[in-house]
Amino acid sequence: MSEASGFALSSSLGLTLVVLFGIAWIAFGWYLGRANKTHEDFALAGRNVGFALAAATAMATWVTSNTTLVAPQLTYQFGIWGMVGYSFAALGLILFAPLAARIKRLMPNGYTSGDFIRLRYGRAAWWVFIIISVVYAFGWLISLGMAGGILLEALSGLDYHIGMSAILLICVGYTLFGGLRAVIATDFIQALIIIVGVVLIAWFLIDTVSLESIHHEVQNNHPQLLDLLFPAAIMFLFNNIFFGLGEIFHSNVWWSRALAFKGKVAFKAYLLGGFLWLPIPIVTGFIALAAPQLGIFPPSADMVGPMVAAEVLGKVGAVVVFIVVFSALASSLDSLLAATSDLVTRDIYHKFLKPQASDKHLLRFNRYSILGLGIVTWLFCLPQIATLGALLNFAGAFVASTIFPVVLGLYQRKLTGIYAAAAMALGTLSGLIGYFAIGFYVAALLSCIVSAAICGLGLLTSRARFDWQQLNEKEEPTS
Amino acid sequence: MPKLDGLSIHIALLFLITLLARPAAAQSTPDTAQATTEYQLSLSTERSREGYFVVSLDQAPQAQLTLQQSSGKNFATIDAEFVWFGDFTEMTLTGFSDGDYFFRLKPTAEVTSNVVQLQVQHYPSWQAYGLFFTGLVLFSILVVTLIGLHLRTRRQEVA
Repeated sequence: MSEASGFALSSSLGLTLVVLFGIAWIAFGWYLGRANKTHEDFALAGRNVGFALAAATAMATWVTSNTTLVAPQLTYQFGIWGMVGYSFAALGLILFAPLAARIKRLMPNGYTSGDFIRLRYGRAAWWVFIIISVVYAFGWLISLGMAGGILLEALSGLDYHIGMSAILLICVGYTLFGGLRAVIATDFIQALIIIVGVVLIAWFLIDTVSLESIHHEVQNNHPQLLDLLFPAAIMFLFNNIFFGLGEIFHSNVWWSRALAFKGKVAFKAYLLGGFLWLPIPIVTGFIALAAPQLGIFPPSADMVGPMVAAEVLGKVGAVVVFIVVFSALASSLDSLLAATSDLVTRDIYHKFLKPQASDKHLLRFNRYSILGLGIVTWLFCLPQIATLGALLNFAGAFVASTIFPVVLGLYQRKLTGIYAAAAMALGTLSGLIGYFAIGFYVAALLSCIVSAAICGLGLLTSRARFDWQQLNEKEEPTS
Repeated sequence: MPKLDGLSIHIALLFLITLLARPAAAQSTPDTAQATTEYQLSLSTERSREGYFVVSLDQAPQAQLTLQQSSGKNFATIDAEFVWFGDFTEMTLTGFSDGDYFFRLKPTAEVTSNVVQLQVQHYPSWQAYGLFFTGLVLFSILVVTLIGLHLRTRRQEVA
């Protein structure tokens, strides 16, 4: 860190980078958005996304502030298991691959994950699902906006509110102009930046601080980090996996992509995206193990990644960290804005409030939704209400309850809406009780166990046979 | 008899010199403050179940500080030293095994601090393995169900 200001970058350099990024992304979004003629173009990129863009967007969207900030934090706290365990979140993408193919086959005209729940399970389950989706989407949106502000403040001393407002403004800007087409195209570039940047940081780190010296320091003064039987880390492992599975299986971020991908691309794209993502937390997490050797003991564990990179690589490292984390934040924030606005437009506005709305009207409303979501997120981000980790772990209790209802709903005719609704509601409730009564490391696990048990009971007692044709909802022609 | 002019000049010079002088208390106060700063250390928890915790200072460090760790209250042996990073008031330490630990700032002519005690007691193995194997069983059920249903559906579609 520079001695003069105590920050790796000057405020003016930090602000310059933000402005340059902002102009580039928004201009790119506007350029791509010119091809959007209908609401389907805007929301699902014309359902014509090819393999390279599809795999890149799957990988880049899953590289969030968690991967770049929380993976080093968990490694610093839980050692080897924190690093390896976090990378198991790739299982979410890998296991979603067959689901994505099935979604595309069953719902060639579908728009959102809410569509599926409404058509497959009915209104009661849909309401529970929408509440879960909204809680999760806002939790993630707020945490991403906050992470942008925290990142800029940590690296350049720029006021939190400026950084937070800037990243929201940029992402809302290009999503507003370009829709999902811009989101996927920027994700492709952001994926390349993330891979190259992360590899660069790790390579410089190993070159500067040898593996032997890192191992020696950790073994002598922080032995628990190398212990493969570290109790807290073992407990965290499967909870983290179920949290990741719940996030991907239920969220419209991933469903809208599955529906936007061309032909049979979805299966291969999610599989490749998952395998590309797998090593990233290992690399970002490894950075944290070098902290003790470098004499870096951060004030807060989630600052360890950027602090180590900035210390080892100086100003260049800080710029690389800034670009990588900013790209990771933007690639997730834009996806979430687009997917949540689709959910609001399609599930709530079109299907619930205004069924006769024309295509042009829906396109306009979708844009207003993006703007509205951006403003609400900005308002929630202003007071910096909670930490990133606290927000995300809380959401684990909600999303893990959707895993079995989604999987069984896509393949099993017997599970009925009442059991699916009960599984999601009681699963969430159990997860929340576990979160407050026991700890964060059981929230997602308990939620999933209860939900699975209720789904199992539903399969045993039901005699229903769902007709898959009901999922292929035809759009009424509107002008 | 001294010359009157010379006497006046000397008296005026002596007077001016006294103006430059400061009271003894005024001179000694900042020196004393600079000499010894007493920091108050505190911990985020008295018992850590995960082996990590946060050590806090009551004020931003004025100079380079070093945190000392010992297994005894009297610090007869120093087990480890951690250099305080930057001018942050908090430091997160990690990777500690079960045991009792004592921390203080390395005492120097300029720095003193209180001693804080931490007990690290990791979760019992039965609890950790219980949750691990529960998770493993549920995950296996999920994967087997998903792959089984997917393959069955594919076969039906082909047929």
